[in-house]
Amino acid sequence: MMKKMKYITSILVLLLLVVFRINAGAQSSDTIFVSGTIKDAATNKPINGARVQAGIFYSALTTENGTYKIRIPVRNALLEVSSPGYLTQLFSTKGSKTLDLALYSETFVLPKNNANGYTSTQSVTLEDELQTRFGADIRVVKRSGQVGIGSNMFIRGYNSLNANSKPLIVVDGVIWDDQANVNSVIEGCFINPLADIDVNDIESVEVLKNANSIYGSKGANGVILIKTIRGRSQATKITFDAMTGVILKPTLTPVMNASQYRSYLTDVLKSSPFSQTSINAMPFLQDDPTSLTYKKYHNDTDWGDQVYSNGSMNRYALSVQGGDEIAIYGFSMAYTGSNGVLNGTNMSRLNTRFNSDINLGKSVKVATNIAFTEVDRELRDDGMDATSAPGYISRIKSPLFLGYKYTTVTQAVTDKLENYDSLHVSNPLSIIANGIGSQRQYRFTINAEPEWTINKSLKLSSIFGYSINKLKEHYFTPVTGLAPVILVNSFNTPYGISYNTVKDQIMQQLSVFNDTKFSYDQTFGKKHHVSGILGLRFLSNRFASTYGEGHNSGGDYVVNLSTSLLYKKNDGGNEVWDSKSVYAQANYDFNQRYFLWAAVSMDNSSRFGKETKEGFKIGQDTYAKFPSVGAAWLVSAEPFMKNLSFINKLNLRADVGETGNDNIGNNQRLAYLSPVNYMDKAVGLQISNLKNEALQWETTQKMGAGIDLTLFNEIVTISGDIYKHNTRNLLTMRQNVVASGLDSYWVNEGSLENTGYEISLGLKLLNTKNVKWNFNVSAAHYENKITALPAGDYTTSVGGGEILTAVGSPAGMFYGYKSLGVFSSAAEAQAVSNGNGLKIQNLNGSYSSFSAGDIHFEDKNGDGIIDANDKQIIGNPNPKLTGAVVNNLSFRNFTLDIVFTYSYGNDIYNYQRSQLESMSNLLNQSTAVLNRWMADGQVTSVPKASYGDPIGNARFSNRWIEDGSFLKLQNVRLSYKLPIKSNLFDALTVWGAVNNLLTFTKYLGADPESSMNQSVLYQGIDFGLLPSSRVFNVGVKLNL
Amino acid sequence: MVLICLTMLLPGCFQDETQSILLEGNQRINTERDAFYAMNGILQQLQQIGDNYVIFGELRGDLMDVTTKTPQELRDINDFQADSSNTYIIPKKYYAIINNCNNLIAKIDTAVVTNGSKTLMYDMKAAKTIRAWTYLQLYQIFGNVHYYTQPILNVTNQKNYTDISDFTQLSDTLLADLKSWVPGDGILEQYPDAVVINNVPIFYTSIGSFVESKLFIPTRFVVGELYLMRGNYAQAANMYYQIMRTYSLTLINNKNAWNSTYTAYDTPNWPKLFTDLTLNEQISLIGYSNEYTSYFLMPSLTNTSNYVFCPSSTAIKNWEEQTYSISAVASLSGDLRGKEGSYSTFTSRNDVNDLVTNTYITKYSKIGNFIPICRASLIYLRYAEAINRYGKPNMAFTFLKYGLNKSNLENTFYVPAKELKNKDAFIDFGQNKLTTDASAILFASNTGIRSRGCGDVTLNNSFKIPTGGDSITWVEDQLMTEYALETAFEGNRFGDLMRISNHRNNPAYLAAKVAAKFPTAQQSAILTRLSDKKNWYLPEKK
Repeated sequence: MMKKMKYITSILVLLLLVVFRINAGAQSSDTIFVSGTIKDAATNKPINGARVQAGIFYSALTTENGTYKIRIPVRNALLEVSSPGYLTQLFSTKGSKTLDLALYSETFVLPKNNANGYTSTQSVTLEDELQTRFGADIRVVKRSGQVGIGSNMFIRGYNSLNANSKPLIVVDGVIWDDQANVNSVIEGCFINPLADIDVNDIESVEVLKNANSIYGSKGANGVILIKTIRGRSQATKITFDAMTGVILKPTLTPVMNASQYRSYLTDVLKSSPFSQTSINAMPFLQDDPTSLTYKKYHNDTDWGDQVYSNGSMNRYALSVQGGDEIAIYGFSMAYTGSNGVLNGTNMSRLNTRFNSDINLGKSVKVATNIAFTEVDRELRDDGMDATSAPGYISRIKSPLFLGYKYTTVTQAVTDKLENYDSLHVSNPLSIIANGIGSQRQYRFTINAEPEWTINKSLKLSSIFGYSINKLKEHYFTPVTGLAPVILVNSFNTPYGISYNTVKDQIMQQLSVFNDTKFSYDQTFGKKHHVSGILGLRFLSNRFASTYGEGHNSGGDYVVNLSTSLLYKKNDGGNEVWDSKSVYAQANYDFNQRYFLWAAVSMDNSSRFGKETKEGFKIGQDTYAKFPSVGAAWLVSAEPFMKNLSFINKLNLRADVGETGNDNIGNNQRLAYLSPVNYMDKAVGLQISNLKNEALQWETTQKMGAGIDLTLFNEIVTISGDIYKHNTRNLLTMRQNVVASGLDSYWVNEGSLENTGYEISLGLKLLNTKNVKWNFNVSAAHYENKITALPAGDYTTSVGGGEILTAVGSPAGMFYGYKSLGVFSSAAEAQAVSNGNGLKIQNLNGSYSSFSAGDIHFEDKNGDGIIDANDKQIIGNPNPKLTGAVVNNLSFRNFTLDIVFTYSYGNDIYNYQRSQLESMSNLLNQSTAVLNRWMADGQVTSVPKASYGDPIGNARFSNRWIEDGSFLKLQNVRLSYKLPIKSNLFDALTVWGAVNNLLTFTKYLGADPESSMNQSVLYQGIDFGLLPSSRVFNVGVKLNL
Repeated sequence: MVLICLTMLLPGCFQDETQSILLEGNQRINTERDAFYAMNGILQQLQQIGDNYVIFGELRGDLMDVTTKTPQELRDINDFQADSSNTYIIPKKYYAIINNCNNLIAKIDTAVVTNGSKTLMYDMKAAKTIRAWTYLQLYQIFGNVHYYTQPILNVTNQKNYTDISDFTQLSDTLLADLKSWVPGDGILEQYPDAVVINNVPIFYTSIGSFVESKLFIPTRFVVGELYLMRGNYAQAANMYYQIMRTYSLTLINNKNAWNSTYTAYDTPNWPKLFTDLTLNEQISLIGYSNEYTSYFLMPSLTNTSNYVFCPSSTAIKNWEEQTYSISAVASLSGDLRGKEGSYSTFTSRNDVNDLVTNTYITKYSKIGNFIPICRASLIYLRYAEAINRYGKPNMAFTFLKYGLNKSNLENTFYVPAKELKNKDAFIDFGQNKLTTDASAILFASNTGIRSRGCGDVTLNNSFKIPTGGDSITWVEDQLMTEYALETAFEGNRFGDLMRISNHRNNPAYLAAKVAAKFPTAQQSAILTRLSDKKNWYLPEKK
């Protein structure tokens, strides 16, 4: 350790020496000026007081008639012009001595740069904003319709298969651990660290997607840099924000009503093994209206109505900014609350943040951030759990039953909750009323960033970050109304019956972060501008968790873990991981026209093995090395562009470099023993992993090129990027040697690539005095291809489906059977396969034939038998295009924002539909099964109902794969700034907005924006999580 | 230094699945507690191969058969046509036992003294024995083992093993490893003992319903098996005899019989050998618990609802062909250990509503929650097999018909004096020097094992060694029948058939036995297949 420190110190000293030497050589030369007029682009009126800036040392303000004169460092200087209410714009002097400029209203700001938009928003978590603002830059897929649950984000394809593929999150310079491997005890719930930041506290977001390697082994998936709001001036500014709204009940897959369901029942029971006597004994099939229990079993309950209702959403926030010469602060406090659309669910969040900037003398200042957030949620299981997820149960539960007990005594429905029904389906009302699913998330963050300005061009700064992140979950399902579940062990052997479940989980993560760096900025001979940073980053995480589970509490009042529970499980862990990085970046530009940069990062992590294929060693530690270089050419600043006046800006960019992914598991390189249970109570230890010191980071090599083009007096803005990423050392599995007794181990052997492009087009469609219309559209395309797998192709089964990972294919391909329709008649079924019909082989070796009303699966190998050999690729969840269309309009004091998001060309495995149309049991089904095959000769696309589905009509086939393309009118927002001058307040804005207003899609499920979880292989799988629904909000913002 | 950090809650009210323990540096297992955890890990892995032990031992043999409900993969094993993709072929689970044993053996510090004794020695011995037993299983399944004794803990040394496919070489190696751990004559086997943690005694006995010693395998048993398979009959007989002596094993009582009027069965006593663990029958077993971790599928695979395995026609014939002796002249047919202990019948309807009678295995529903690895009858049977080949067929036959004890052995009508002349210590059941020995008195009550299901066999005059033939082969055939009557479906059968075939140097012996359970049309194919010894083994998954 000491040795390493010495090494680093000597590098620093060396750099300082170089810097001061160069500094000493700086020299002065003649002074040059540029002058002109600055006008409003819409009205052509001169702008008074606009600020013109050239480099960091020269600036000027316009006069009353809009004229300015400014000293510039070089002939081809860049001018940055800003004025309140206007877009900050960059102009190139192109060697001219006079330059007349026009400024656009801030309505025309690019969505991603629009800082104002982070306030007065409906968004509870940042991802909602990123989706609309960074359309093409980040692919954002909502996790579910739960408020603040967040989204899965991917930048430029999938750069990993088994390690994390989410972008790195950096908040105020501090790396946030994304807790990718932390699972909630509540099904379908996610731990979302971004929910810890109130969107209104965000000042800016920047997305790093190019080859820059400054984040080294953490940067392969791109980086999202978030800055929180700080005080900007000494004048005290107080803002009060309030918002309220309603979340509409979601649109659900329609299911059969009582009469449709009853006719389905008679149909499916025909193929069941139940004898006529036992069928006749089923209470819901006894149709004697005089029977005492008739009313108990003959209803038409709409379970969707019973479990869902409209939700609500509120937000109140107060922020204060101000200060004096010594210190400037920004303080904010906000409460966000929501009642979910699933009855019994809610969410509330309290945020507080105190950011300050303190000047300690002339050359030293300290920035601090202190934030505390508590997010509380009350949830129920979501997804496809037939026992405990009220949403799914509302689809499958027979409409004939009641949620409350029917008494034959008074022949009336009581207020007592009914038990699970005779089809063994839980009563969702009881789970809602008596269940518990509470999640509490706390985060306390404290950062301090002292900065010492050593001289005009050199700064030393250091960020110390400390955060405690805590999660507490408690889960309880009631005995009343819950269908008992048979518990099975990992060998699928039953060991007990659960009548209800209690689960508790507590996790705590402590992160310590430090980033110390020298920053250097200097111009030599006016034309040579050099800047750079050299830093040392350190991140340490301590993670502890405890988990307890038990069953059969015996009643609905014993809701906590206790020794009396049965089938108890206890789990816990302590994990520690550290990483450190030495990084440097140097920028050079010549004449503000040619830009060059180079960055390098050298990373070590406790996760890296000691004998890795790549990297180098310092002492015992393995360091990975990530170099990158880039260049840009501001073509429009060239004197030869002077005559092409319709081109305002033409910038060409290119970069190449390497980044890495260190999310390879904390202990995977080490041999370890894992505990097992022996004879109920005793603990045993078994070898469960072999040491592999070759285990290392995944390496992603990135190449990219881009163009920024502004045309026709800045009316048209075009930006385009192409890229190619090659990821090698992909974390993949290899089979252990038989003699080791272990299954498989992780190796860095696979590779994949992503190629793609991103384009965005901005148009200032209308720019008159009163009406302004800014239009932006973006599109992104990526093509993912796996290029090598050490152990060959493989499939992963996911909820009845199968995902193919194969060389030459993109990740996540759906792999199954191909349906060619339904055999309308016995003759048609017999005719295929040369008149022999199609068969399946049963488990015991015998054969069964497909017949009329069964699905005609493609017999790919033509052997007459439908089996695994007939599986093929049946869908691709990767979209061809994703992006957003953003319109910002303003009319006098009104502004109207209309945002569309879209995805084109992606397939979805509709897992929920595969269950709701399986027609293999007595549970309720979607109305699509009304078209099922019933009689010989009937031509339909829905097969016959068949109890137990012995022939496998509902198997994973392209029946369940759908086109997931969509165009969503994601957000419409109208705000009005009251034209009132008052002594009481500076400004008052009222606004109203609708989220998720309209969706245009062919997708049959509730929401085409779906993914089962955040792992690459689970994208495009509709697991039936709560769909997004329409949200209406109104709000008011008061500036005091 | 105690370096394995133990953070587990014990003996919790919770099923504990706490954090992983990193194997960094030179950790030693030097407390009873560390050894206890490591040993539990091994025993839990032993549980995971329990079903396979039975499937490979019986389905490949002549006593167990498939039913209409049997999955194709098990049919393939039954037909000797399984390929390496067969999911029942799980060599890794066997090697997991070996690697964990290797780890314990490599790290355990046997010099540690607790309460005046080197207790960790017993953990070492137990692990070495389990390891050898597992190698023996692997050899019997695959005909080849990947032999290694240092733990594989690093992906780079995964191939640090030697392939051994020659049994002499394997048995030499295993015997060399075990010899010094075999207890001396007359000394009881010792096993890992009670552990006290936080003042709470954690005995193996408190785990499930099993006495600690039964969860381990006697070293002498594995050594005896190795000797027997090699044809070192005297050494083998000596090992089994040592077990009988030190465990005081006798074959008395516990028979299935008709009632005194021969109109109904008496209360079956023989199945008690599998349910009453206080009886001195079950010596070593793979135990399972009832609550969480029952990896043991045999009871459900053999019951009438799943009905994956059934007794073969050969097995049923073996029982039905026996004579139940009432007197020298009167007899009934059938060995009562069949229908009254090992199998039974149930009726079901086939497609045309005809009632069909099916036979099914009941042994596992009686056994409950363990798989017997070695029990008293098996030890005696092995012993008889060894002394028969050692040249004492009459003594071996005495074991079948009369019982091994002083008076029977001294009866020259039963055992000619020349068979007992050499006075090997291991043939002494009291007839030599043990008259005053307590265990000799114990042996005095030994009766013929066949009487456990066939009434008073001593009255059966036709049950005798034929004159003028090869007595040893005849007695061995009788012993093979006795193995079938007494130990059917317990997992030994295919190993027994292989051993006898090898001793007779006649692969057709095994082939014919196994082929007999198949329908006539299939028999010749099976016969041909199994006449080639390499088809006896399963392919190892790559």
